[in-house]
Formats: sequence, C-alpha cells, structure tokens
Amino acid sequence: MPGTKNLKSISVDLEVMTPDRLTKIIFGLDKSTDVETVDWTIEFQFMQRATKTDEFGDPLVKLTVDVKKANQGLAEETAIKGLNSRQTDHLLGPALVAAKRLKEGTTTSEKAAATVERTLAKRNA
Amino acid sequence: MMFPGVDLRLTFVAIALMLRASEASAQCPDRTFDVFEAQGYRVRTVRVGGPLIGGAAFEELVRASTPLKPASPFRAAGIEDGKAVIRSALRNAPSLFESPVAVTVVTAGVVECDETTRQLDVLYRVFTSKLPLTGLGTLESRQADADDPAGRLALAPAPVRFRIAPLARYNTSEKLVAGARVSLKVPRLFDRFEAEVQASQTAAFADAGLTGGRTKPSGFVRGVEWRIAYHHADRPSDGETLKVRALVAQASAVTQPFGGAGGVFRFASLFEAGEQRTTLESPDLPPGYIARAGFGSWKNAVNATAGSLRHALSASYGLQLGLTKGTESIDYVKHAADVAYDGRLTSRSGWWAHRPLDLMSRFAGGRLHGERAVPLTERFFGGNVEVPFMASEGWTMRGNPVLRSVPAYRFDRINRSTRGGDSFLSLTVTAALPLWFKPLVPPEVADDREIRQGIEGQLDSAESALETVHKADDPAHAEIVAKLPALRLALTAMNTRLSTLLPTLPDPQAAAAGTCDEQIDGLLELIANAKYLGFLIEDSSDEDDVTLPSVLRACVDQLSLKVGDSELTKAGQEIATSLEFARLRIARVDVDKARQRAVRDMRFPRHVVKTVFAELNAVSVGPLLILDAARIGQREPLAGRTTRFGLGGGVRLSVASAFHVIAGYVWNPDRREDERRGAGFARVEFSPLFGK
Repeated sequence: MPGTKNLKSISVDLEVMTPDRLTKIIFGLDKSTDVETVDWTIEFQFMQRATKTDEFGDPLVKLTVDVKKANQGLAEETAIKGLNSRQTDHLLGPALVAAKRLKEGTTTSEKAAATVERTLAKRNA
Repeated sequence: MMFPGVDLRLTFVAIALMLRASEASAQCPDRTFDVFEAQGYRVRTVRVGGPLIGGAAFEELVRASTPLKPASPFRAAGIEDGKAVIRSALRNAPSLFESPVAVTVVTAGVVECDETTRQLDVLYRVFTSKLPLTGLGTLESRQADADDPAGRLALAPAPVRFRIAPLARYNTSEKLVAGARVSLKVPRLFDRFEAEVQASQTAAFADAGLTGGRTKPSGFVRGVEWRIAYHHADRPSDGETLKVRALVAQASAVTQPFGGAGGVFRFASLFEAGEQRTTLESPDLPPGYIARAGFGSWKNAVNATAGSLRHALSASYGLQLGLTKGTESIDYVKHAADVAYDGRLTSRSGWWAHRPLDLMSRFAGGRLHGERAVPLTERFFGGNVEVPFMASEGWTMRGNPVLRSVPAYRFDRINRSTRGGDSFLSLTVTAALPLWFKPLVPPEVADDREIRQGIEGQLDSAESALETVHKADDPAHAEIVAKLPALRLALTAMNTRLSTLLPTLPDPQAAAAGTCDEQIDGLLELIANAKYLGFLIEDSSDEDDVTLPSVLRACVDQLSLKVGDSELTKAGQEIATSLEFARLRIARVDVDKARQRAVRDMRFPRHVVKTVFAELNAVSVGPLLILDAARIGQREPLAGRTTRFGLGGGVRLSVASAFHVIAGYVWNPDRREDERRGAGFARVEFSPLFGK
C-alpha cells in the first residue's frame, strides 16, 4: 500500500451463494492496526430467501468474531492468499449449519462464532 | 442512489488521474492511524478509488457517515468506520445478475502527509467484483464486454429501471442521423420496453417493442428471448425511398456451451406483417417485382459461434418465406448466410500492453427468389450502412452488401434499368489499433504487488468455494447423502437409548452421556443442512467440533465401552460403519475434476479482471484500416452483376469505454463515371449514459 509501507487496514469479503440459489453466506475478514495491537475480525452473514426471484434482504444471522491471537497468522494468510478448499468445505458445511442453528435458537452465538472462526484453523488441517 | 450511472461512467478518467496524482505525491511516514491522531493531524481530503468504482458517490457516503470530513481532526476510528461503510454499501449493491461468488477487497490508508501543517489525505482503495461465471461467447457479447466492463463485473447501477443512450451518425445518403435508444424495465412476461428512434432529413427509423428473456445455469437451452415490436424504416436509395412498416414477433434461444472453445448454437424464428413500398413507377421495376404491397414473412435463422476469450468465429444461415398478394402460397424466398471473425491480439506487457489490435471481419451472401409480386424493398441495396436480416440487437446477421466506399443503399445499379440485386456477396475487414492511450487503472496501482495479491487471493477464494460446490455434485458424495437416513437412524437410536439409561448411570458416565448427546444433536443438524459432507470424516479440531470421529470418541470410547449396553454397542457399530463408508466415498470424490470445473468456471471472471487491469483504457486514440469488397447480381432476363471495392481509413477516439467517435473516408477505386470517388462516414457511439 503506497504511503503506509504495509497494510494497516484491509477487509476482504467472499460472498457465496449455494447451488439452489436460496442461501447466501458472506465470510469477511477485517484487519485494523494501532500502535500496540493488530486486530483481526471475522464477519459472517447468513441470508435466505423463499424463492430465487425474491431479494435476500437483511441477514438472518450476523456474527462478528474477534480472531484469537493464535489464529491471527492464519487470518493474515487467508486475507492475502484467499480461502483454500479445506476452508470453503468448512464454510459450506459446519459454518453454514452453525448459522442456521443460531437462527433457530438451537445453539449459542458463542458456539456459532467458534465454528465460524474454526474456518481459519482448517487452512492447515 | 449508490452508483449513479453518470458518475460511474464519467469518473473513470478522474479516478485514474486522481490515483496517478496520489502515487506521485509525498508519502506519509509508516505509522499506525492512532499515532497520526495523537499527533493532531487534520483531514485534508477523503478519496475512494479503484477500477470501475464510482468514487465520488462513496466519498460522499464516507463523509456523511463518519467524522472524516475536510479540516476535521483525523480519527483512527473514523478511518475504520469509513471502510465499514464502503464494505456495507458494496455488499448491498444490487447487480445486473446474481453471481454465485463475489469478492471484495477494501484497503484504507493515509497519503500525502504535510508534516508542517499537520494535514493528510485519506485514501480508500476498492476492488469488487460480482462475477458472471461464463461469457456467452458470442461476437455480440464480446462487444458488450468491451463496451460495458462495469456491467460485466456487475458494478453497473442495477437493477436498471431505465436507460437512455443518444445515437448519431453521418453519411451522404442519410445525412446527419440523430436519435436515441430508450430502455425501460417492465414487470411480468416482458422484462423491458425498448425503443430506438433515429431520423434525418432523408431517413427515418423507429423500432419499439417489448422484450423478455430467461436464462438458466444448466440444461441444453441456457437462454430464451422473446420480443414483439413495431418496425418502421425509410431508407433513402438512389432517387427513391425504400419504406417498410411491420409488426414483428420473434423468439430466440441459445444453447449451453460445447467443447473447449465454448461454442454455442442459437436459433431464432420471426414473424412479421405489414407494408413495403417505394415511389418507383411500374415501368422502372424489374420483372416480377411490385412497388408496394402488404406482406407477411416468416424468417428462421441458426447460428454457431466458437472461440476463445480473444477470438470468436461465427456462422449464421437464415431463410425467409414471404407472402404478398400473389397467387402462390409462398411468393418469395430469401436466403442469407454470414461468417464473421472477431479477434483481439494483445499482450499484457511491453509495447502492446493497452494497445490491443482489434480485427473485425465479416463475409456475407444472400439470394432472393420469386417470380411474381415480390416487394422491391426485399432486393439487396448496398452501401455503408448495414441492414440486418433479423431484427435482433443481440444477434448481428447481415442482410445486404456492406460497401463503405458507397453511400448507404446506393450500391444498387447493375445496369440502367435494374435497381438493387437479387443476390449479393460482401466482405468487410476492419482493423483498429490504439496508438495513444491512458490506462483505466494506472500502472502504479495495476502493478502494486499487495493489491494484485489481494485480488488474486480472493479470486482463489471464489475458486475454492466453487470446488466445494462441485465436490458436492460428485456421485461418490451422492452415495454418502443416500446413506444418511441409516446414519440418522443409528444416531437417533443411540440418543433414545441414552435417554433411557441416563437415570441409571453413575455421575462420570452421566456427564459423558451429556457430551455424547450434544455431539449427536450437533451431527444430526449438520447432516440435515450441510451442502458438503467432507467434514464427516475429519478429526475434530477442538471439543466443540462435531464430526463422525468426534461422535465415536464421545459416544463409544468414552461411554458405550464403559457402560457395556448391547443397544448402545449396536448403534455405535452402525455409526462406525457409516464412518468407514463415508471415508471410502470421500476418497473417491473426484477432487481433480471438481477443481478443473472450478478453474473453468473462474476462467472468464479472471479474464475480465485481468482485462480491466491490463487492457482497458480511460482514453485512447488510434487509426482504423478498412477494406471492403461487394457484389450485387441479377438473374435472367436482366442478368448482370457489379463488383466494387472500398479502401480507406479513419480514426477512433474512445473515452472511458463509454464514448466512441469514429470518423473516416473510404475510396471507391474502381468506380463508374456516375459514382462518387468514395464516401465519408462519422459515427458517435455512447454506451448508456443515463439510467436508474
């Protein structure tokens, strides 16, 4: 980044629609930096619609997850290199289901957030 | 409105120049934002830039939603808020089509720090793409890619409710023709009302109608389109005007892509009924022709197009059956055939970077048969304006000899008494090369390693997501899905048995039963909703991670083996069998094939992105070279034929891929005494300027 020598602030978002075109998930990574710390945040949104011609509207589930220190290196690597297929397997499997369960009230936001954050760990699984 | 069309189009150059300016300016020291805040910096400007982004609209949004305003104290939190505002706006931006995958990168930074006055500029860089996975691969869609890259990247304002595009051209026959194309979104069966009206002191054209269409991602037929319209044309020929008024109904279809070249087939059928007339008196008409007639006709056409992302070859054939007032059931038959090649020769480095050599060529022919009551206007009148065989914007098929050295519709004299021809051949070749240009994305940005890496990374993300989707389609995966009811039964049986045993279990085993119960509930939810089941066989990464091995560990190793209950043991064995089955099937999932499909899906989006960075120009000027040959012929009893050539050149000025001025002159080297030395032409083309 010209002028800042290294990237102090970046966000990357991946939007994926399921093949039936009724569900959309957004997996976003956001980096912010101050003099003492580097913070990474995952934003995960889950959207559904009844028919393919409807608008998705507001997300049914919106999770914001502060990435643990242990996963920050993976977050940086994922932001720069993109998600690999192990991570997208997790995204379209357990992470997607965690969002549905949270919407239905069968899991807690803490557990759903942990499942979403696990996407980072799957990079080297 | 987030992406005003005017802003999007007309700020391309401003963005490019702005980015260039910022790169050349003094850089800020490598400090975090909170340090600048602590040092008392103030905001001088807030800028948002990126390829094909309407920066002005975003800048306004950031200024309205955050404390980042000119002359205000710089706040570290404010710059992060601005990034969030841009990100949210991009997520919510509607697009022309639904992309299975979309990637967005937003960076925030400070540039141009003035240490003396403690001022700085805030710069956001944005790359976003809602990507169509495949191009149709037709010649016309390639032109659409070039004319409207923002639309192809789904960055155009959408859903577009209306569009107005001005039209203008000049040639000796028609004089200055001006008009507009209007498109208005309508609900239900038809998607759009479209009208194109152009007129001059000698010519008039009007087409107005309703158009609808549907596309689908799978199946043999991928797209269908239908249209009803009114067509009006007054074409000034050599001394009289050829007039057509007709109601038109048309349907067309395009197939799935075939083969490595992504070839597609198209079919169209058109009915039209109305009137054709000229002012020519009967003695001047060729035998069998009439000056005016009510008519009806049925046209059918087929097309095949193949090519790569830079080359396209297209072949079309059309048949028209016409009925007027004659006694025959079919009064005339017209055949038309057309072969076209469009190519772009370019390199993404060296002298040829941003200087693509565009080659456009078309060879066409036609023949008209009819003994009685054939409208004169059906004959072939050539010149420097093309008359389409089928009235379809998305399908160009030539219906007359195009000869750019002769004014429109005036290449019509085989001999003194015959007007037009009943057969034609036509070859046109055009080459264009931008010599001077300003890239749309400045080299400093296009070559920035971090930006390129971020974009490439997100394209890789999209590819990985598609790979997962394709793995879920694999037959081996389908076998796992088919076995899920058995797994569900085993899990439910274990759960039910646990409920029965729970009151009798001692504390340590009751706690293990609780963990097992949670694992089973989690797995039941997962197998009911997950799109891809590869996770089933993985070892869990922590205690909350639910997979088949984690269920076996919690329910069999930690519980069933210790309790020694036969029903639990049986359910555990069935779950273990399911794990083994899943392992075998997941191993058989053709990952390479899924990856290849994902790579193929992403080929077009990657090409579009690379083109935006390496080829598109904000402004370009370059020469055109034109070479034409055309012939019209006539059968007995007035048999004859005339062949003419055209050789010339011109200049093309393109601004922001949205505005093109083309002008030139083509000589007629083998002219007859009563023919002109050549013909000049000028054309102004706009991509849609106004739209909401």
